[in-house]
Amino acid sequence: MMALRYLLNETWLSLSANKIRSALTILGIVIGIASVIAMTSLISSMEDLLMRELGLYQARMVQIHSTEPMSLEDAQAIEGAFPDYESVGSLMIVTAQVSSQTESLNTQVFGVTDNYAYIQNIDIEQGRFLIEADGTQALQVAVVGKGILRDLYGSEDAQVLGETLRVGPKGEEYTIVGVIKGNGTSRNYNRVLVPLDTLHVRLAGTRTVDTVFALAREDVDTVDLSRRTQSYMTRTLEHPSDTVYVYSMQEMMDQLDLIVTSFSFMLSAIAVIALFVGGIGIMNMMLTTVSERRREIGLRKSLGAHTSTITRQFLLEAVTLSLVGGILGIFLGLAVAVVLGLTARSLGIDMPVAPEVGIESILIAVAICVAIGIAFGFYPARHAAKLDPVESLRYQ
Amino acid sequence: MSEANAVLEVVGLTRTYQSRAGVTEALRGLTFTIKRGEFVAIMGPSGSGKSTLMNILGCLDRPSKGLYLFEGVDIRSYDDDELADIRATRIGFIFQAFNLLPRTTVLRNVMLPLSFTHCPQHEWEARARKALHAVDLQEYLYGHRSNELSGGQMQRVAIARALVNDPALILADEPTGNLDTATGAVILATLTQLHERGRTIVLITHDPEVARRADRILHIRDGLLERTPHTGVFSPADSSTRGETASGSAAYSGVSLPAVASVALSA
Repeated sequence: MMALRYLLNETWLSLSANKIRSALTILGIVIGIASVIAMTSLISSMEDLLMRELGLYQARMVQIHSTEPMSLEDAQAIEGAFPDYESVGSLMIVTAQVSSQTESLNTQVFGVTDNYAYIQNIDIEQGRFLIEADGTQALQVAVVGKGILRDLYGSEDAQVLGETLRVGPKGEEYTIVGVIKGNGTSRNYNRVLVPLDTLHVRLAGTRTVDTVFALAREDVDTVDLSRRTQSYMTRTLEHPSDTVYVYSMQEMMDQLDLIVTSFSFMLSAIAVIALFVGGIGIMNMMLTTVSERRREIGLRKSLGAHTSTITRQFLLEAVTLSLVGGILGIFLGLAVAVVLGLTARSLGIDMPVAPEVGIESILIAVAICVAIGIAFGFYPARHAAKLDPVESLRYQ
Repeated sequence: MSEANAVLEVVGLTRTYQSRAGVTEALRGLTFTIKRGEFVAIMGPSGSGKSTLMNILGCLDRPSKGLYLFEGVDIRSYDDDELADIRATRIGFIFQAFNLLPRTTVLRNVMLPLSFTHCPQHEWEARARKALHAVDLQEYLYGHRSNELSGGQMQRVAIARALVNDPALILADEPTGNLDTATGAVILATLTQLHERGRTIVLITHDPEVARRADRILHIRDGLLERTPHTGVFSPADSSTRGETASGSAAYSGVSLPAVASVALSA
């Protein structure tokens, strides 16, 4: 049996004899693998981004919306009716003019309860979040996103604790007590948060709420809980069923999973097609190679090569082609993923630059390449092995 | 029962081919023996069956009928892989067109047959060098690609390749056919030296000058072996001389062979 090292050397000599043809042959494999790696990384990063920005990492959260106004008493009733909720909060949104000493803009002002940060998993970069006393005393304090700093104070990193914002048509003064961490498309980037009671008194003129948000306890089935809450809202609190929407973050995560899976499936289908085409290319090239080297095959057989030796030689060439294509594809895919990450960053999308590609993905890609090489190299290899040595030696 | 000193024996060797035109008998009942250490030439016109015979003797093809004993064993008892092993270890081929791998070095070309045996890889280079030394190829050429060599050099590499596994039999198919006269003479001298060192050589040729280097000439015509005097040579002065033929037909004619002393058969 031909020594492995000698066989590998023979393989390299054969493939490098026509480098351009070999390179063009593996192009399909390179593109197929690169697209899988790049898209897998992109989908993973997008999923992470969506999870983060939609608050889906807070899987225990349940949100209750209504197209008709809800009351604070509704929120309190829900908290009392469902001990499965660890904490229940409320928010109301108004649009108002917000001004610093030099700049002014119209933006959404959120009136929230003090447990908003805990339930929504918000991090503070400067100062503090709203506390219970801010609400009970209807204090005119505000926590802002970094987009407000950029627009009203010239920089996301402006030091604004203690600064005064004028809010609302009357230009009432609010003191900035905190800045929310987060940039780009973070949900809270362009928001101004004030105590709900303060908003009710100073800006809204009403004590309704737009959204009730609740945090379920650990190990509670939030999907079931949200259904029960929906039922409570319609049957007990007598909200019309077509006006109330109760959903858990878990349900949204499941939806996102389904979308991601669908995308992944579609990408896999595209990749399979690309790899199939690449495999056909390898088979085509190997058949051409066998035809060109027919005399050499006859020589090898006349010198004592077994049929299995010839099969092994050409199969190894096909697998090598496929593997080289796969490795190049992996590097190209990683490079494309980095470029996509940088491009997203430049567009203000907070995506990781470094591609998220696990070692498992790489190993799977390598295994696929070997399988393609064997599958599409087998027929040419057997064809070569079955050539008659006498006829082959006569071949011109 | 095979002869003790025979490398190969054929009895009633027949090879037929089926084609659209019908059945073609390339070889018709050949019978002969080649002893160890003999140098035998096979001559015949185009289409006489020389190459077919060479292919069967080299275990590249199987007879349709008859017996072929190689080193006392009927090759019909071997499967394809076993025949390949015989070709790798017991038979060395020399082709008219050299059949070297063009982009491969001289040394690797000579090592190629070793890769089909169980010889440990660390011995390959030494054996290849030894074979190249035996054909007097300059050492500085060992690292050259074979397509960088002259015709004579390539054929010497091919001879070294045939020798590298220390075969029982060397089969040469028109080894000087693609060479000029001078280079061909060098190659013949190399083969003659190998014979003098005890190698068994069977050589196909059209050229009587080449054939007369052999101990014995087998004349083939229309797939039949023509019996000749042991010297295998006719005197050109005796135009009426005819050799016996297996079928009683006229001996091979059309070539004038120079008179030479009778050559003793090898033991």
